[in-house]
Amino acid sequence: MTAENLDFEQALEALGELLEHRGHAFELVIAGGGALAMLGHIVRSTKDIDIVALSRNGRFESAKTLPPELVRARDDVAAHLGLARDWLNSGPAELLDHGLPAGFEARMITRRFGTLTVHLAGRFDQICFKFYAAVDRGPQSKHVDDLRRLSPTSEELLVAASWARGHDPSPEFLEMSRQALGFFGVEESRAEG
Amino acid sequence: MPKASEILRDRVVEAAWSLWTGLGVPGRLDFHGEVAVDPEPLVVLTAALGDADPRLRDEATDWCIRYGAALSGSRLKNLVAKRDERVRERFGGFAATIAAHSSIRWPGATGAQRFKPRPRPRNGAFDRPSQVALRLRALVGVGARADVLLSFLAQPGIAFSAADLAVETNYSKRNIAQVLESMRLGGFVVAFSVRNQIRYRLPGALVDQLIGQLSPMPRAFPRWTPIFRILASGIELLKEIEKSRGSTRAIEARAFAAAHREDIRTSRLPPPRPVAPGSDFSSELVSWLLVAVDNLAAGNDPAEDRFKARWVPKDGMTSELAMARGHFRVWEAPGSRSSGARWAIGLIGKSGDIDEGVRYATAEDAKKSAELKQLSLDRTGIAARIAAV
Repeated sequence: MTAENLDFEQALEALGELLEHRGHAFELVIAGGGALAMLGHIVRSTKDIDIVALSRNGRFESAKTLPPELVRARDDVAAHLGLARDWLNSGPAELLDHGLPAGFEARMITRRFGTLTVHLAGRFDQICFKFYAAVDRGPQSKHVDDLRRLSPTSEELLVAASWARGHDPSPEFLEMSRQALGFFGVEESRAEG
Repeated sequence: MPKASEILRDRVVEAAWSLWTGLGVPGRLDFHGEVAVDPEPLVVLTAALGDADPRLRDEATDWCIRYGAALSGSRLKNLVAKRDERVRERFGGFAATIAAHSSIRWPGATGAQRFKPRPRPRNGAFDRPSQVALRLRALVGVGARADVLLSFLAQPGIAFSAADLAVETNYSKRNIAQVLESMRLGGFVVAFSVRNQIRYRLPGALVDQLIGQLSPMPRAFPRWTPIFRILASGIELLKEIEKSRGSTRAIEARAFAAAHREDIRTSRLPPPRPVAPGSDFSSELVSWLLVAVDNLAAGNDPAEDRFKARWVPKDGMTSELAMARGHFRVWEAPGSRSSGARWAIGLIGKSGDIDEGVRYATAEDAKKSAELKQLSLDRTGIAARIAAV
């Protein structure tokens, strides 16, 4: 395993066992390429796992600042496995700011590693996140490929576009999201609707 | 079968016994008579060991009641402040016990432990090389000045900054700066600028004069503060990882080495050998700790060649446990399992050869053998200890 080809199961198992040994417990909500790979939706190499939110007592909380115990354990696992320190990062934590797609919690798939609980975003929610990222980063980005691999229906893309516009209501984003829908063969008129 | 943490703890206790003997405690282990013993870090180590050896604790307490006035309370305070809550608590009890039987008041004292001082003749004099710190304090008083001078004498010719000496002596940088400035005004140190830093050096004539006054000087000045921190933390680490499973052992061992990187560097110990990512670092660390403590317990200083000569490389061993003892090479003897004599043990000769059994070619090796017998490290004991790692 290298920083370019992360074995998620091994890394999360090591992290969960370490947290358990140190007497800590965390619940993470994760999305992105790492979550897609864990769910078997993609097979491309992915170097990190993206934390969308922390979950505490059934409520989602911001992951913008990760708890120091989690950061220390993450770094120790990185040193052990020879990974980059950001192998587990809160890059997409701002997704929580404007709300996750409706019904997100019910679609989560939960995995447990020691005292580390990982809630993987469901397929539809990944479509929303990937659509948002694809519009943001452009048609050449890896997100377009990931989105294609999720085989979204037109209906799903329209809902994803609607959700994404809630995060960025600018006219520029609206225009780019229309172009992205067109890229995936969704009719312009339906997008406007 | 003892656990690795117990083996390490026992070896640290043996080292502590020998160091206290160097300070004047009556003990049967005496390998540090020619090595400078640093009293305050030894007090903190002994307190941290707690009940590992009640007799050691009592003898150390007894010595401190008699001679604790030669120790610095502020230095003890600084040393203890850098340790965890468990060590602070144990030191608090140790300091309170001494306070209950003497006029010595060390910061951080809590509740006294039960202790009955024994009538003992006082040491005739602090006249051993190992007691040089105490002799110097008798000359210039207890405090930063004595320890600054000792640092200069330990590394003659080296120019220190106030920050360097604060780390070396465990006094505050402000305190050290004041001492250095007063010594500069008195003409006892030379000050000069190196880039943006002021460095101080003891003039050669004064070094010679002080050495003349303080003789017999020790052969070596090990940096006991980082060494003791590594060993005491190492015992706690091994206790912890013995309770853990899977990759946690390896991760905690690696985290320990990273957390003590600076202590390893300043102690001058050869660092543990790196292992490939994902590999188990814990067995390497266990071996490293045991080899280190063995060398230190035998009175060797990491800066000396004799220490490095006994730092046995692991290559060619049939077992990763094989270098668990610095003086010995230990290997699994082929075809001897059925007889139960599973481990073959040989003492490393001066040339690096292995002298098996009890015959030694040189006087030095014969002396080492006698020392090891004193440590009760017979063949069976060693095999049992290593098998337990």
